[in-house]
Amino acid sequence: MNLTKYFNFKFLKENFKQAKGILIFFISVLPIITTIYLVFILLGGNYVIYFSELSLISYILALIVPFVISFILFGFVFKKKSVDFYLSQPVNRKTIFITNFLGGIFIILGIIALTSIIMVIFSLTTDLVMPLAMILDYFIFFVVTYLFMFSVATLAICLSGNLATSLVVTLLILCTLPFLKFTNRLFAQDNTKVYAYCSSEVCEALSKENGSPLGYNQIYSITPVENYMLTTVVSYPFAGKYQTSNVIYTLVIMLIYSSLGFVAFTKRKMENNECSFKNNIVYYAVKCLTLLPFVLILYRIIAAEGFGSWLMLAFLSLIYFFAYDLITKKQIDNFILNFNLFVLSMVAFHGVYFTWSMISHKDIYLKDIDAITVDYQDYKNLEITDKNYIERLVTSTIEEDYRNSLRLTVNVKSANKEFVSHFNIKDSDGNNIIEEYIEENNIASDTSKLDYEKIDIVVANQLKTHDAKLNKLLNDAKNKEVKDRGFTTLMLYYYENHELKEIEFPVAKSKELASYVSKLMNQKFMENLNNQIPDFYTYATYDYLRSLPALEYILEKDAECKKEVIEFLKEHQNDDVTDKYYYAYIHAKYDDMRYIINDTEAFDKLYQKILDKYKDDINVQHYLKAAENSSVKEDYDYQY
Amino acid sequence: MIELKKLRKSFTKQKDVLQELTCKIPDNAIYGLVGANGVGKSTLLRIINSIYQADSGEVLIDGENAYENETLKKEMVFVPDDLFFFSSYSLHQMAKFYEALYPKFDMSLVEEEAKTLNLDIKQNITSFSKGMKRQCALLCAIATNAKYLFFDETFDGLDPVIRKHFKNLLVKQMTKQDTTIIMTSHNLRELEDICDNLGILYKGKILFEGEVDSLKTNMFKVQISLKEDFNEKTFKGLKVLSYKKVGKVATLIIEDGEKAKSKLAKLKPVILDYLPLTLEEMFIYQMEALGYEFNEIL
Repeated sequence: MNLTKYFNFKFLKENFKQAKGILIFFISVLPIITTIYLVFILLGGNYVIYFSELSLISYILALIVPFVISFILFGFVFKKKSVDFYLSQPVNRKTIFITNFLGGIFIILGIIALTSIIMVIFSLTTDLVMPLAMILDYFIFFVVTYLFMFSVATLAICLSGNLATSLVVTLLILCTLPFLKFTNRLFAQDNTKVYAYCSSEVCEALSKENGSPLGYNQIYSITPVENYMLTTVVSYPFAGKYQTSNVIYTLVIMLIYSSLGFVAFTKRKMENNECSFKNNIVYYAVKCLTLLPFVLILYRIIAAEGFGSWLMLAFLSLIYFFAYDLITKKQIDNFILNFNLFVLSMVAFHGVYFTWSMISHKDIYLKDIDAITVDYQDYKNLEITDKNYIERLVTSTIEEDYRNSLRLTVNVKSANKEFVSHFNIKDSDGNNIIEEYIEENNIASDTSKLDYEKIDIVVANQLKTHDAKLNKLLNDAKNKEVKDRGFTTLMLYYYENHELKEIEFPVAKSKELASYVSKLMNQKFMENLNNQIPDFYTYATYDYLRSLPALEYILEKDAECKKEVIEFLKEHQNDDVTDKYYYAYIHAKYDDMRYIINDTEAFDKLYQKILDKYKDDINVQHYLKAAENSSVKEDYDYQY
Repeated sequence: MIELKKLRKSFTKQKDVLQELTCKIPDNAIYGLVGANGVGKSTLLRIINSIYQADSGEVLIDGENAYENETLKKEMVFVPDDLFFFSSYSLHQMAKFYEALYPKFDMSLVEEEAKTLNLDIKQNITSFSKGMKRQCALLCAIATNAKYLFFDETFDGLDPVIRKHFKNLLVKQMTKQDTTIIMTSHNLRELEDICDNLGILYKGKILFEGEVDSLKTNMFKVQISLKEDFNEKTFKGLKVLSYKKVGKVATLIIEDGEKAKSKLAKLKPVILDYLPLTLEEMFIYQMEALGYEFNEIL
């Protein structure tokens, strides 16, 4: 099909013009909210943004914005007089659909591009850690998601007779594929548990403790509706993160839905408007279908176990069933037929529900577990496939409190059991087992395996940088061991396999690295100092932590001393790092910035000189005494 | 020429709105389509304009199938009964919309006529009265300079002066170029002074159609009285549509025109008066001759 033949720019321009107010609002809503969201993240002092956080607002608006755009472009089919107007214009149906659909695509591209540009600006000008590759992923991911939602909404509008019905049909179309994909999970009862079957004494003891069947350690309980809802409404068709296969899959589904929308529009009986569906059978079928997700959600919310809660569920479902008529038709007609349909639907639902519940119960045996993965210190996604270690981990004490626990991911892959779940065990137990496993298998840590040239962003005390020289120094130092991490720890971020990864890297691994980082931090400190008076601390090897409030006090009242100190900082900002150093802080932007005073001897001299000048000042004496009393002695074994 | 061939359309299984409707509408004419409410006049116009699709049959315009024919649609404009304007649009903005889509659109006509009709071209149309809105729609449609104009309940809401103005404007448009206008109404009187042809839509079909001029010249009402006693058979050989005799005077509706007049004169009547017939009366007698009660049709 020659698309240009069916694209009428003038028609699109006029169409956009007549809806410019609402279009501008919906085009700007995502970029504006995203900007506010990013500012709030900055204000909250949290600089690292993962893909899921970056996507949060876009996910929520994905349910609204594409539908509104589709309604603006195709909503005329719901009103007889607008149908008369649009279809009598010298533009045929194919052209109307293709022109408006492409118009919708342009708008969506514009919205996501604008939002991405805002993210790029934030990434380049603020301390937010957002690699450009992640923003590119965001762009692709949400262009596809929004286009997918747009195609679903358009198909729904082309099939429906009024707005309320088109909303219902949109949700039904959205639910159809996940429903087919996750049927098994969907109908699983809440009390369905997954147990790791084992036969050791430890297992027996644990099963008594957990109330699990004897000999089993419960490691997984299914929460089907939550999974289903999340997958369907929020992240469908993605699994919450960027995956190329999912993007392609969604694109294909989007093309199918768009084609169906095209057929539905060009073949649509335009007289079918201002009502739900002309055909009563279709109307009641759609209505009964919508009852299914509604009842499932209710099951989850009111946990229908006893007869009372079941009655409540039935009552609410009945209200929904009739409210549906009021919303879509603005009246309830044929009460008896409606009631009979409701009873039939409920019987059918319960029949299917209980049958599936029975067959969806999962028992997994220890032998079924292929692997357990864990994030442990410098070992991200450490995969343990050794059966012995798997048994030891599975039979460890389950710990619900995440603060004292180690989160394990269980991968089960066998003929009929394929899933991933998580459980937590006591960290003291887990750490020992995993340390043992690492040592036995001589596994290299992530820091030693990584190619540091690909590090996107380095963050240390308000210093955010991307620097090739720094990357080289990191690479050189990666295999050096350091017992004490002292000084500063760098957070290294890189975007790999569509995931933002982070690594902690002690600067103390190499003196060159420490000096270089110290210089970078000092430069940034000086750039932001302006007229502020820094807070001074000593914090160093062989020394003790003490603040220097007396110095701050003097600097506040004595401009000459202040000038002298600032001159000192300027002169010494490129000093090489030494074992003993002081810190100076300023409060800059949203957090502290740090200056490392490496020439402590020179600073001590200056400090003493200033103190001598004010030795008779009562306040200075008071500060010195207080600081001495509160100082904490800390020993370090710190060597390059 | 517009040719409708066996058009069928139903909205429910029980009833066909149009039942194999067949009709020919000549070029450069104003065709009035008359029928009671709900008889299918608007549906027919919507089918001709590709808004609805006929269940069967076809619409041919200048020999081409009109359904979804973009080239033909550039020469067609439809003003429905229930008017639509973009919210917060003025007449000028609406005219701009039409101008973008109709290649022969005449913006100056809109501007001049708006001035004549006292319509503020920059004012939001939604603030206009029903009649003013109709004026806006008619102006935009006429300004398209399309070859085929379709008006549903054309003059609904217009006062007699404005109605007259638009009738003149349409006639002017017809003389300017070969325009064919099809307009519907449930009121025959509204169309009689403007239409060249009239068709009556009844039960999904064109029940009767004809040229207004020939109807007017061929059909007349006569009151007659003869010296001798007479009855309906006396007028055998004439096409009498209606015969009523009260006392010695009979009232006849005759369709044969001048021929009939000479035949009547040969009967040497005592009284012979020719009375004018309104279009409505002509239709009443035609319908009665066909066996229909006019009141149930209109």
